Amino acid sequence: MRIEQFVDRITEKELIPSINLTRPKYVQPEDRILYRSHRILIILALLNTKNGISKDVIACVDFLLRNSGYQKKFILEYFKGKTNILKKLNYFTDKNTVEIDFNIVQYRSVPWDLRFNDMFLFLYVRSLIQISSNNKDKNIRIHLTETGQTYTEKVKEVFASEINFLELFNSSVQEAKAIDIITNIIPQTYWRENEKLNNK
Amino acid sequence: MKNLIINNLRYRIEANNNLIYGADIPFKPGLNIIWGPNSLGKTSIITGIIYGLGLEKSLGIFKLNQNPFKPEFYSKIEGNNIIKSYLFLEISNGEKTITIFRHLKGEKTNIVAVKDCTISEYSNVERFEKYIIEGDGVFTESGFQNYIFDFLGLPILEVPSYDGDNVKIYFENLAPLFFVEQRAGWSQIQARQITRYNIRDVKSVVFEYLMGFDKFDLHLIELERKKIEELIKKRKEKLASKEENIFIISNGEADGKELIITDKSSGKYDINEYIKLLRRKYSIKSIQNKTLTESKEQTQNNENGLRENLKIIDYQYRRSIDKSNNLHQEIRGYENYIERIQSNKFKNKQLKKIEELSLDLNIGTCPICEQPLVGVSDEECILCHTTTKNRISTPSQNLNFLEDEEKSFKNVLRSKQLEYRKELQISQDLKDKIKTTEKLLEHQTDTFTGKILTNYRNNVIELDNIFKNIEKFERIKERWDELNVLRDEILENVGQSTQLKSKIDSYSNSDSDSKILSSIKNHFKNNVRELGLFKAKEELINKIKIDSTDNYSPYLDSFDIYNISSSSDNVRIILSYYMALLQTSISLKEKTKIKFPNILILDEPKQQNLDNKSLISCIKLFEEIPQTNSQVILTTYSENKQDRTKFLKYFCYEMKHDKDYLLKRIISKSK
Repeated sequence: MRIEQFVDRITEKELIPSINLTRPKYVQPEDRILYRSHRILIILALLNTKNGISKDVIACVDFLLRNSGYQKKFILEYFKGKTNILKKLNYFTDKNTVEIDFNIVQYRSVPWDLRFNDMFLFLYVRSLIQISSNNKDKNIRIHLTETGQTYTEKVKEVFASEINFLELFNSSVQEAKAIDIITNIIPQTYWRENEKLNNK
Repeated sequence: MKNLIINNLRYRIEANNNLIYGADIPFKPGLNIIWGPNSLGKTSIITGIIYGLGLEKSLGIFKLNQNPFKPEFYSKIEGNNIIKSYLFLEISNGEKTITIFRHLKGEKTNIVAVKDCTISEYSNVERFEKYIIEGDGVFTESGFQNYIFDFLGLPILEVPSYDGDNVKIYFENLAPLFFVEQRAGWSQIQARQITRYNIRDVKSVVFEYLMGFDKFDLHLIELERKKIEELIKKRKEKLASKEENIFIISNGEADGKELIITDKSSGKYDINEYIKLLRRKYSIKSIQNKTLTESKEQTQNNENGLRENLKIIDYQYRRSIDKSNNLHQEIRGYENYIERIQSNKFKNKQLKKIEELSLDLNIGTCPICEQPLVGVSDEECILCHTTTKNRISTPSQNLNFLEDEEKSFKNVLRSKQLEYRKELQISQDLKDKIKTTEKLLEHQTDTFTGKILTNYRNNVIELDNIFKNIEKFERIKERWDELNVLRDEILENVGQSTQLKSKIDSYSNSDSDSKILSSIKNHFKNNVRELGLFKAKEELINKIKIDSTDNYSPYLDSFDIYNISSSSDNVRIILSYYMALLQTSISLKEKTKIKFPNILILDEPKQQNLDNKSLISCIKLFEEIPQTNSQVILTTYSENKQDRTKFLKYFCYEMKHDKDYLLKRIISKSK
C-alpha cells in the first residue's frame, strides 16, 4: 500500500517510478564491453578495410566517436584546404561533451583505454576480427573476418551517426596524420579547455 | 671799539749779488701825510699797509698769483733778480702792538707770521703765530680774519646772502669804509666794496655793522628768523614726506590735521571712523564664517554618508556578480550533465538494439579444466568469479534512470537559470545604484562642496584682509598721531618766526641810530661846506640826506648828487663823507656801539682834480679832529713850496725829488 501511494505521488510529479527491490548496478554503455566492441566493429568495417588498422588508430578514432565534441575540430584539421568536404561540416555542431574517463591513459601517446584488449578478446573469441602482423609481432593490424563483415552489416543501422562521421574518410584514413591530430593538436585545445575551466 | 693804528711799515727785498733793498715808513697817531711827486712809490706804501692787513682784495686782487705791487717789489730791482721779498707791518689796537710779517713773493704769500712786538724787536722775539691770510681757512682758528677781528674787538657775524645762505662779513668788506683807493676809490662811496661774497645789501650792512647801528641787529634777527624758517621748512618737508608715505600706504589724503582714507567701495572716511567701519565689517564677516563652517560640516557629513553607502553598494554588487558567475558555471555544469544524459540515453538505445542481436558464446566446457560449465551460482560467476548479487543494469533500466535524472536536472536547471537571471537583474540594479551614487557624490564634491569650500576660503581670506587692514590702519593712525609732535613744533616755530618778522617790520630807527646818522649828516654838511661844494648853489647842501635809502651815502631827492657835481665836487663829497664817519666815530664812540676803527687811509685825493685850496681845507678839517684817538694816512703832493711848508709837520714820509724812490739799497751791517 505504501509503495502504491509513493508511486502515485511520484507519477503526480510527472516522474516515472521504477521500483526494483533488487536495485541493479547501473552501468552506462560506455562501460560495457559489448557496446564498445560493436563500435570497434564499425570502425573496422569503415576504415582501411583492405589492410586493417593499427590499435593506435582504433584508439584515436574511438576517442573521437566517444567525444563527439572533438569531431569538428578533427575534421577541420584533417581536411585542411579541402573545401568540398568542409562544406558538409554544418552537421557537426560544436558540443561540449567532454568526458573525463579515468580508464583512458596516455599509452604510446594515444588515448588508450585499458579495456581495449578485453574488447579485442571479446571480438576475437567470437571470430569477428583477425589479427595479423607482418614482422614478428611488429606492425600489428586488425581487420574484420568474413563473419565479422556479415555481422557488422546487421548492426550498421544502429550506429548511423558514427557511420556518418566515418564515411567522411572514404574508407581510408591517413594513420600518422590522424594520430598526430589526436595526440598533438587536439590535446593542446583539450587541455587548454580544461585550464579555462579550472581558472573560472 | 678798538682803534686801528698803523705804527710802522718796513719793506725788505733781497736780490741777487747779496743786494738788499728796503724802506722804513713810520706812522704816528693823527694825520700822516706821505708827500712826494708822482711814480716814486707813495701808493706802494699804502699798498704795503693794505697788503699787510690782508686787504689786497680791496685793491682788486682776487688771485694769489696776482701781485698788487710794482715789479721792483717782487721781480727785478735795478736789473737784479729779486730772490726774496717781504714786509713788516707794525700795528696797534690802542692796547697791544703787533708786527705782521708777510712775503710779497713766493708760495707762502697766503701765510703771515705775527709777533707780539714792534718791528725793531721783531728779530729778537722768537714766539710767533702763523695765520692763513688768503684762501681757505681764513676764518678758522689759524685764520687771519679770525685774528684781526679779534684784534680789533670786532664780532664775527654772519649776515644773509642773496642766495639764501649765511655768509660772514670779511675784513675786506669793512675796509671800504676807512680806505679809499687811488683810482676807483674816488668815484663813489664804498667803490671797492666786494660784492662777490654775495652779502645782501653789503654796503648798508657793512655801514650798519661798523657804525654800530641797532638796525644791524635786525640782520641778526633776520638770520635767526631765517634759521627758524629753515627749520620750519625742514620740518615741513619731513612732515610732508612722512605724510606722503602715509598717504601712499593708506590711499589717503589730509584734511587739516585729520587723515582721510579713501576706500574703494565705500568712499572717504576719517581714519578713526574707518577703523571702526573695518571692525564692524570684521565682526559681520566672522559671524558669516561661523555659519559657513557649520554648513561645511553638514555637507561633509552628507558626503561621508554617501561614500559609506557607495562602499556598501559596491560590496553588494561584487557579491552579486560573484553569485551570478557561480550560478552561470553551475548552469553550464547542469547543461553539460543533461547533454551527457542525452548522449547516454542515445547510447543505451543503441545498446538495447545490439543486445537483441545474440552474440552469446555457446561455451559448454571450461577452456582450462575442460569441465562442463553447468550449474549457475547465485553468488558469483563461475568463470570470472564476479559477485552477481547486484546485477548490471539493463539498457532499459538505464534509460528509465536517465529519464528521471534528466527531468530532475532540467528542473534544477530551470530554477537555477531563473535564479541567475534574478541575480543578473540585482547586479544590474546595484550597478545602476553605484552609478547614481557616484554621480551624486561627484556632483556634491564638484559643485556643492567645492563652492562652499571656495566661499569659506574666500571668506577667511577676506576676514584675514580686514584684520590686517585694521592692524595696518591702526599703525597708520599711530604714525599720523605721532606726527602731531612735529606739527606742534612747526606751529611753535612759525609763531617764533612771525614774532621775529613783526619785530623786523616794526623796526623804526632807534634813537641811537638816528643820533649817529644825524651826526654823520651834520659833519658831512659841514665838511662839504668847508671844502667848497656846490659853490654856486649852496642851498643844495642843506637838502642833502643820508639814510638807509642809498646805502647810507648822501643823496638829493630831486637830483643825482654825482651828476650835478663836477668831478672835483665828487671827490669833495667822498672825502667829506669819510671824514664825517671818522668825526662821528670819534665823537660818539664812547656812547654808542660804533665799531669804526678810527682810521682813514686816503690815497691821493688830489689826483682826482681836487684843487689845492680844497686840500688845504681838508687838512684843516683833519687838524680839528683829536689827533690821539685816530689816524689818517693821506698821500698827496703839491708843486707849491708853500703848501709843503704848511703840511710839513704832518709828513711821515717824503720823497724829496724826482729820483727819490721808495726802495733804497741797504748796506747790511754784517757785510
